[in-house]
Amino acid sequence: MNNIYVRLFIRFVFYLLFQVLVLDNIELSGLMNPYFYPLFILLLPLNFPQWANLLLAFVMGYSVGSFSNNAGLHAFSSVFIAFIRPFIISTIFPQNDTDDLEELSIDKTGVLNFILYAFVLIFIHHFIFFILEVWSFTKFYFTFIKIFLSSIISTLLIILSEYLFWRKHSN
Amino acid sequence: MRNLFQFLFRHFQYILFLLLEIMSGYLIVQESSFHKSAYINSSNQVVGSILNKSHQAFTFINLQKINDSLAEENSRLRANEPYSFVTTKDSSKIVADSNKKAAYQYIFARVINNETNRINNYIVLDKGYKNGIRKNMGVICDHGVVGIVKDVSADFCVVISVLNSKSKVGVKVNGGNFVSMYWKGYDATTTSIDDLPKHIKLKVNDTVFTSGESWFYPPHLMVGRIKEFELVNGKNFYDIKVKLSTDFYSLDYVYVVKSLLRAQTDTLLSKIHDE
Repeated sequence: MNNIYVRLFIRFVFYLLFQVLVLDNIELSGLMNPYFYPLFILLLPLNFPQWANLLLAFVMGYSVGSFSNNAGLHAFSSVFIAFIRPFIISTIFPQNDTDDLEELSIDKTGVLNFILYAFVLIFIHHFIFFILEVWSFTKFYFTFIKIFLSSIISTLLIILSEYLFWRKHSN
Repeated sequence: MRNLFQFLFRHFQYILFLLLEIMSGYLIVQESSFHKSAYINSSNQVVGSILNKSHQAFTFINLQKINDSLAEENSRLRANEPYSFVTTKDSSKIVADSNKKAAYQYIFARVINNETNRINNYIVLDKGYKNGIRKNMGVICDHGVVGIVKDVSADFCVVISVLNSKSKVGVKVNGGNFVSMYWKGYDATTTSIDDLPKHIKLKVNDTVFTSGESWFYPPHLMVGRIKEFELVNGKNFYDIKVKLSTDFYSLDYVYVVKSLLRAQTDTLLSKIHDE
């Protein structure tokens, strides 16, 4: 588990399968449509070059999307949040906190900062995804509620999973 | 030239970002066109087989429900068998009916992945090209319409669900002409009709049938019932909400409709278009 490549691979497979086999089959309501897989992008290594992270985000979005015939939508929003991630990180986290970290996790960065970080990126991801999915502003009110509720549920899921698994990661 | 390479190298991540987003944009456009087949989707063999495995694992939780719906359908079909009828007039006799010609055949398939909560929902079935399924065939279930086949691989096919912003079903209400029914999103039990002229009399609970004019679905198949309708002052058409008879939440066994006569009309039409 110490090797970063092994860890990335396991995370990729696990998040992908959890998203397409479990989460996509749960009907909460037409207004809630959470996505868990962006956690893969949130936790991409900090010391990887940005181009590698962009490519990884693309592959993740593409794979999730191929299960529901919207590979393009998922890839687009995933690459976008991977692109703005460094700016968000440098805004939210105090500089010296993230300097010697290999990757972010809730125990090393503080709970509130991590929740804020997760919510901001998830919200941007969902915003792009759902707006592009509807492809019009005619039902903007509905779409916006959907974006907001889904972002909250996704963030909750992500925080929950961080609490369930971070101990294993830090070993 | 060296400056150019230096520039490219320094801004490599921005260029890659743009490239990836353009690729994704291209995919979005490809996937959203109704007729063009997307080159990667759930009829892809790898994705299809993963979905199939997961379906097999979860399927038996629903066995009771599936059995009930099949038994119910059997009883309905049995009611149509010749032995379920008695002759009421003494003068009648049975003749071999050569006036009728089979127009539709059905290929049964199972749903292995079903979506209801997106704007554009798709359904994956466990049968494909090998089983005789082709693009643009209609799909129905035991009480209603399901969608139209969009893409076929050897063992799987992807169906554009009625619950898709791009799908339209030709229907008839109360002997009126063919009108189109479509989905407005958010509610998997309700669809809308906007172009039924106001001279046709309507009641709540009137039945909506398929028109059968496009050969996707057999004619006179129940689609749903009118849930509510409204005639806005000054408009010539009703705003109608239809409660679908298909239960998209528990879709399992479906029938792909193979229209035997469609090839003829298609060739005739394409001849006309060519002229």
